[in-house]
Parts: sequence; structure tokens; C-alpha cells
Amino acid sequence: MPHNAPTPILVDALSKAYGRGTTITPVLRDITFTVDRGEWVFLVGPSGSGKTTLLSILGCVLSPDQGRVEVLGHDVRRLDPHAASQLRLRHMGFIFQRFHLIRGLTAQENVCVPLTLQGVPEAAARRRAAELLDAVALADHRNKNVRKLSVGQCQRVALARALVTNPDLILADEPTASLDGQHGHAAMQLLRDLTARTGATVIVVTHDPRIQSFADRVLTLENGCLCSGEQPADRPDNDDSTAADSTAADSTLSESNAAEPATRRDSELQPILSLG
Amino acid sequence: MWTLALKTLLEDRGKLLTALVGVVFAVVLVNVQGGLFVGLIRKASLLVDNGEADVWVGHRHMHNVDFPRDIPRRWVHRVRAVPGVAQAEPYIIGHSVMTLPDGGFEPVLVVGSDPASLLGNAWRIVEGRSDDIRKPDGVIIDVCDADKIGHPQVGDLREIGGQRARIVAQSEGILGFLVTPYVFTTLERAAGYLQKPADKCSYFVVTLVPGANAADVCRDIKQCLPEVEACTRDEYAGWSIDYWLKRTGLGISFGAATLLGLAVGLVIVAQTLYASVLDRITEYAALKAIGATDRQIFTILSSQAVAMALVGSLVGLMVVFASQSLMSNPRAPIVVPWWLSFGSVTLVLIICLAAAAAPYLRIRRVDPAMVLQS
Repeated sequence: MPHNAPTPILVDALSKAYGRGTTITPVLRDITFTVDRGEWVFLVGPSGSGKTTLLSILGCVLSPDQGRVEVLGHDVRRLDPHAASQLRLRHMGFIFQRFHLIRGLTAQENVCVPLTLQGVPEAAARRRAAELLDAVALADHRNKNVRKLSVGQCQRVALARALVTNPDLILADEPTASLDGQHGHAAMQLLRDLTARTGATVIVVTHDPRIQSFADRVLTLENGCLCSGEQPADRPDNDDSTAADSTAADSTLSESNAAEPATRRDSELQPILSLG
Repeated sequence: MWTLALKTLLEDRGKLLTALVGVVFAVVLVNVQGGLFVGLIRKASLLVDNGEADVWVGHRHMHNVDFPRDIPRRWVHRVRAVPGVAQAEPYIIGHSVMTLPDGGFEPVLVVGSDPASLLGNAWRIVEGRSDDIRKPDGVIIDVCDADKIGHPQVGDLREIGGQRARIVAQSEGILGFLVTPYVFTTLERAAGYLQKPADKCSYFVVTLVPGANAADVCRDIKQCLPEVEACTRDEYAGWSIDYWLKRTGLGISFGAATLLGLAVGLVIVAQTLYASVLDRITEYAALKAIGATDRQIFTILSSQAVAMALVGSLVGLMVVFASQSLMSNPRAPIVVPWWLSFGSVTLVLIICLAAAAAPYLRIRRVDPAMVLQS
């Protein structure tokens, strides 16, 4: 996205409700905030507070009932389904909680999917996917069926898939929910490293307090309201961040890691950490 | 997109196999049923297709080669005078009865051809020679009908229409649409077996000079002889086939069985594709969330359907040709013309694409937001 590009995210008096008639349940109420280019914003809050609905609206897969939402300069309410698809495909990267990689495809083929959908020639797409897989330390696994990859490796494939189109906006839904603390921290560090060059804006929905140190801002939602305003967070330095010395949340992480089963593959973390 | 479609298809091998069985079943059923039908119905025009005549001349209302009506033999000279005619000979076909050595009898269809030219005589001779009908009382019968007429050997005697007939040669595979055995002999002997007046015959079989146009010759013959019908070989074969098709409803019964096979194939493929889509519904939702358009989703599904149709058709055709070589016989010939195979593959392809419609409509209803809410 060029430097004179519009504010990546502008939300003004957003409201959203589910249901009909007397069974209408408000999910988001009068939400207002903006996100600057390259900013990392975390959406936190208890289950049912509206985080995922908000992320879905920012991802143009849901439409707001009231208020104005502009994503990368586009008014979400005015986007038809095709235009929304194209906006997502060309300017957004998604990281899903359960990855949703395509079974039967290799890691490289999975990473190629957004490029294939864009119509990029296969050879070019494979080259780009190989670069990304190399960056996430999966060069040796690129021809493996994703069924045969560990959870941590799948997460890295999902990261590579989200980044393969050089998106302006990355939306991550509970990106560390399937990972233990150490791997979760490493995955976030990796995401930061990979987006540092592109300056992509990152929105993360999370319940995981151990990764909140990566946020420039934390927006807390409760009962559909942005109740706490903007809560600044300490962001760990790129060069010396570790799971042990960042925040109180990371201390909790260290403690919880100690109790985790030895079957988790700590060794696979090393190449990721070395990227930082 | 093809890679994505095919690899996900291959990943669900159990479902793929089920769908392929459905396609193979449909292709085999269409081709074998169709082949049996074509083989059976072509018997109706057997004499026309193999008689070597380019043009058939007969009674004005002729409609089936096996059921002719007499015409005067002397008209043959006027036919021979028509430009483009190389040869025209009288030809006799008629029903008679063969008396068997044990006192039994069997209706037969007597075919008499000109002894000099042998135009329209028996073919595929497996014992004796076709020109042996020139021998006294000589007749040719088909080995496939041997059981009906007491398993005669070459040299054995029978009686047809109260007159002596000697088996001088045997053909193999000349079985008509009727269950009545063909008996080939000379023109005069056939007239005797059928108690037909010597000045009558059933048809004039005509060959043309090289380069002559059969349709033009037919028109000229009809101008010259308004009392007769003249048609090309293909026309008369078509008329003879139509006669049975329209009067027996044969096409409907074979067609119904074929349609049933196609319907079963359609259901299996549709069900398999649908189950596969349901299995991967979140993956499709993720694709939509990433930015896949409905058109791209349809491309994936239709690619899978086309792949299933092509692979299933290929395997199905191999099974058809194996069945054909193992099961086809003169009594129940399986004749699979190229257009039947091509048509069946095209039909299966269309059916598979139609089968992709149901899962496609299901995916259209999928909300991409579901992957963010799981």
C-alpha cells in the first residue's frame, strides 16, 4: 500500500445484531476506532463479546447494520460480494484459528492457493511459495502433504499462505490457540518478522494474554462495547525478544510451558526463533 | 486450479472410487445395452447391408427387406437401361417351410439370387463355397441355425416347400431379426420352394458404375418405372430398421434401461461429490474467505466432475470392449459403433457436470464467516 493510502481501518459508530424480530441480539454496539498503517492491534475480551464478529466485518465477510466501516479505503457496506472477494484476495491475508489448510495438498501448494486464485502463473506462484516456506523454516517440508505436518508446522504454513500475496492487512483469528505458549510466541515473532518489511497492518483476535506484548494497541470488547478504549501494550523489541523476558503475560507462559507434555516438538521452534 | 481440484479429489480415495464405480457402471450399461440394441436392430437390415447392391428396387410400398411383394421380372430390362446402372438382377425373398428328417418342420426365409452374378448371395462361408448353390438342389444354411433344422452337415438333404434341398455350404453369423433361418439358393430354385410364378421376383438388386450417384439413379429408375420404389442401400436399411422400431417399441425398452443406468450413475456421482463437499465444507468456506469467487469454486467442482467422468469413461470403455470380445456372438451381437461410445462419454460428462450443481449450490450458501467463528 502506498504511503498516501487511506487509513487501513476506520470504524465509526459500528453496530451489529443477530436474529430477527423480538429475538434480536446486539453483538456490537457503537464501536469507533481507527487503525494506522503498519499498526498491530489486538482485539481481546471474553467469549461472546463480539471480537470475531468485528473481525469478520473488518474482513468484509460480514456487513455492519449501522455505522461506517472503511477497510483499505473501501466502504464495507457498499461492497458487493464479488468486490469483497477481490479485496480480500488481493489486499488481505487471513490466519484462521484452525488453519483450514487444504487436505491433500502439499505445504507449497497450500501456500500457492491465494496466488492461484489471483491467476498468477503456476511457476511464479510456486517460486513465491517456496520463498515464504523458506522464510518460515519449512523449506524441507514444502512437498509434504499438510496431513503429515505437526500443528506448529501447519501454523507456519498458514502464516506463509496469509503472507504470500504481500497483503496490506492481515487478520488473524486466535492464531496461537492451537499452539503451546512457546510455539505461539514464536509464531507471532515470525509474523512480525515477515510483516516488518511490507509494513502490513495486523489485527489479531486472541484470548491468549501471553502474546499481547506484540500489540501496539489492545482493544478490549465486552458485551459488544469497546469498553476500555485503547489499551497500550509493551511491544517486545525485534532483536532480543524471548518468551521469558517480555511481560507478565509471558511469565505466565513460561510457567505454563513447564507443565506441558514433553511430546511437544520444541526442537522445531529453533529455526523460527533464529529468524528473529 | 486443476491441481487443487484433482489433488483434493485424490485425497478422498474412497469417495473417488465410489464415484468412479458409478461412472463406469453408467458407461458400461449405456454401451452394452446400446451395443446389444444396435446389434439386434442391425439384423433387420442384414441382407441389405451385406447384399452388395447399391440400389434396391421393389414394390411401390416396400418397407422391410424380409417382407417383399412380388414385381414382374421383365421390368429388370428397363432398370438395366437406366444410366449409371452397372448390373441389375432379380432377387427373391420369401417365407417357406423346411421339413426335417424326424418329421418336424421349421419356417425358413428363402433367399434366391442370380446364379451367374451371385449378387445378394450368402457371405461368411465357413464350409463349402458360396457358388456351390449352382450345384443341383444346392442351398446354404447358417451354422448358428443348425439346431433348429436338425444339425445338418454339408451334403445332407432337406425338403423345402415340398422340394428337395441339399446343404452344399454353411455360413456363420447370418441371423436375421426374425428367428426364421435364412436359406440361400438360386433364383429359380427359390421360386420353386416358394411356389412363386417364374415371371415374378421380390426385388431387383442393382450395382452402379463407378462415379454414379445412387440417389440420381433411384430417381431415374422411378421415372422410368413409376410402379416401383427405388432406394439406396442405406435408405432401405433404415426403412427396414424403422419397421421394427416403430412396430415393436424396442427402442423404448432398451432406451429405458439405458436411461436407468445413466440415472444411477448420476445419483452416485452427485451423492459422492456432495458428500465430499460436506466433508470439506470448512475448507471451501476458507477458500471463500481468502477470496475465491463462486466461479472459481465451480471451476474446482466441475474440474473434479470432468476428471471423474473422463477416468470413469476410460475404464468403462475398456470394460465394454472386454465384454464385447467375451460376450458378443451372432445370436446376441454387441455392436458398439464409435458414435455410441462418443455419445455415452459426452452424456456422462454432461451428467457429471450436472451432478456438480448440487454441491456447488451448497457451497454458494456457505458463509465464509463460519471459518472465523470456529
